Amino acid sequence: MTGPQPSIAKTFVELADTLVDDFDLVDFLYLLTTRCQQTLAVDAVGLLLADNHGGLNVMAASSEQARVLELFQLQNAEGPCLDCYRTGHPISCPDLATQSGRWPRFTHEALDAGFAAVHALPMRLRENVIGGLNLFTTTPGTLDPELLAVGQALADVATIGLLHERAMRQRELLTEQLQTALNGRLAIEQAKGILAERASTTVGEAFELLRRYARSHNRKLLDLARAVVNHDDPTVADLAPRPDRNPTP
Amino acid sequence: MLASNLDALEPVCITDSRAGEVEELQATVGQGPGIDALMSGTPTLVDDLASPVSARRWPVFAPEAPRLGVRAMYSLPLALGALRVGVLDLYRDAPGELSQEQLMDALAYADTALLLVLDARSGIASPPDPRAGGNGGPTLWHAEVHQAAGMVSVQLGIPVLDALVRLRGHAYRHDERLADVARSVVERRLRFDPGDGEPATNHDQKKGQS
Repeated sequence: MTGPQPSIAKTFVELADTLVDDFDLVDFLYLLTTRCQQTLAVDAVGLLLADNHGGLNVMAASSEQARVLELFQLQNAEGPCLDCYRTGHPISCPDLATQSGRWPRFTHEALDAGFAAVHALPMRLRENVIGGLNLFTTTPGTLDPELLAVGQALADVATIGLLHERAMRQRELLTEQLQTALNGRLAIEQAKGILAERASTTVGEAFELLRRYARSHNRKLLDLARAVVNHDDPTVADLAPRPDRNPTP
Repeated sequence: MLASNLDALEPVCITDSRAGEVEELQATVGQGPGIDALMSGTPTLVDDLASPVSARRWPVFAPEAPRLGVRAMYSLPLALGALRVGVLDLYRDAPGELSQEQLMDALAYADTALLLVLDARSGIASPPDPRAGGNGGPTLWHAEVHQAAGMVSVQLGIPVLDALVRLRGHAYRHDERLADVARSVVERRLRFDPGDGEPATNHDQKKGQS
């Protein structure tokens, strides 16, 4: 019987390949969250990283939907992922409807968005916790322990991916690295907005435009995003031509 | 130090004359840890400006700074995504490392400095705790705020940082949350057009589809 096993193997092969190949952190983490969602058969996955203030910020998510993103972003102040980050332990809530007292605001928003259960897995680096992987399902229930173990392994792979980036620097502290990663994410969001407006598409479609262009022109997603935002690269005009009626100073 | 581009570096807030002289030096020679931090978007922490490593890296700036009384320098970029807002330069008159704790504090100061700079540009009077309220703190890191800034920058033909400033100013003046204004822009219910006094709304819907 073809259970999830073949796709779990495929997922790890794919991620490992990406890690050793021409590495693009943002693309990698996006890939990881979408594969995680598919492989574990959950409904939404978010990867959150610690900022400098003891809170969490979204670094990657399997869905562009505003409501889902908002749910991840809410956990800057309250929620299972924040608890997971603070304790360093996995946190599960198999039935949000019965636990509204634990995270009042988060639970309300999650139920409103159609989610019934949530699981948070810590991203650990030795004694530090740097963030969390958040899984949402629309039906209540616990996750198979084997699948949870796969989820934890994916969280660990994400951590490895982040460390991969820091190989270059002489004295790169973890806090700086996380801040840099989060800024990378924001640069992509800025580029998505620009492209969405220029090409008259949704921001989700704009992201796909960016990814496709990055792949076909062998450029890092982040470098491309920065070029779009700072108008540094004339060839990026191929991505989405600027309409003539809005000349940029 | 504030900059919209490398040609327009200007020291904004100086604590003593030594710091002022070093900032001046950096801007004049066009090299230094602060400039590196600004351009790369990552912190540049220099334990000893008199070391050979520093001399190789900043051949004009590094030997000169200790003569002005500065031996160590820690530069933290004020950045939001791809936007380079400025740099926070911290100095020491003796060589040494920033402890982990000091670095954490410095990074927190940098975030606050960033908010204050944005407030000033938006025409917002900074609240006593810039991290409180709906227009600073975590919201500034929300995906939709930056998507909206990108969109508005194209709508108005202005740099993305200016668009972000406009969004914050708009939210403040209309007593709305920045997150809600951003959501309206991204869902195309709110548009900023050049030449209009006020941005245009498509219809009165409060909640869009998602």
